[in-house]
Amino acid sequence: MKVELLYAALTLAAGLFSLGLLGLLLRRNLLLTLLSIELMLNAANLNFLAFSRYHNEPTGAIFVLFGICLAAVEAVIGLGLIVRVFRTHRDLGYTNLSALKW
Amino acid sequence: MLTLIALGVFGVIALVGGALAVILRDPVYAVLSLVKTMLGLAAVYFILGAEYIGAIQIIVYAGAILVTFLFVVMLVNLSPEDIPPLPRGIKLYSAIALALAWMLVLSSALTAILDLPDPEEVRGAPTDQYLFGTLPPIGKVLFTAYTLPFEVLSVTLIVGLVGASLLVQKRSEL
Repeated sequence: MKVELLYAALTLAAGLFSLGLLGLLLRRNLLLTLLSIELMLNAANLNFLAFSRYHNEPTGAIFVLFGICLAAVEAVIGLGLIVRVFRTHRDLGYTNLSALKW
Repeated sequence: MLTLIALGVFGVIALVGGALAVILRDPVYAVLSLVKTMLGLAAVYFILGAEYIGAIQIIVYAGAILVTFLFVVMLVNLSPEDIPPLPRGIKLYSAIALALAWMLVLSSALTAILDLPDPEEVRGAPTDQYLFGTLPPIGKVLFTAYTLPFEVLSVTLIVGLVGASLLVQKRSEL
């Protein structure tokens, strides 16, 4: 029973990760790219928790806690960069972002 | 069995939310459907017995991070017309093929999991009550074995705060 639960949770995580990958490949916009990265981070968190449940160990849950905190930091820095890019370029599509220094 | 069905239902909710976040053109709708994904995932965490992490997922992810996303969507005044439509033709199909191939590789690797032994059969049923997702065991491990990473994490949060405020200030010396 626990093995089936682990398998179902890991399959769900694989599906979420694939969706995040698809979004990363398809969307040509910085904000939506960051959104897809959040999706992939969540898939990784789900893997940690599934194995944590399987082994009956709280350590996996702690890594999820750290992962959520780091995702918050990453989102804040990424959104700050996005606001900055928007101020200089008036655009968030990354096909015409070619210069590192403006 | 009931646990598996519940996990399937909330997993499908999460997957539909993620798919909509990838497909929808309006960024506000995309962020809101990602909120749906996060809520579905929180329900999956509850089903897995990790109540504390599920609550954190709702508060921090659905409540804080994605609301920050919404704020930025409104701050940069992003309308659906600003978002380029999904690519058509070969680009679309190759991206979908790559994601599907990745999913196939992962799920074929995952079938090996089903041969794993049940840990309770190997080590015997846990003597203490099954409580791994509640606060006491997490706190015990967090403040004994993982104290240093926990403190480093607070420094990381401060660095992120200062960095973000430095990035968005109007006339910075950067």
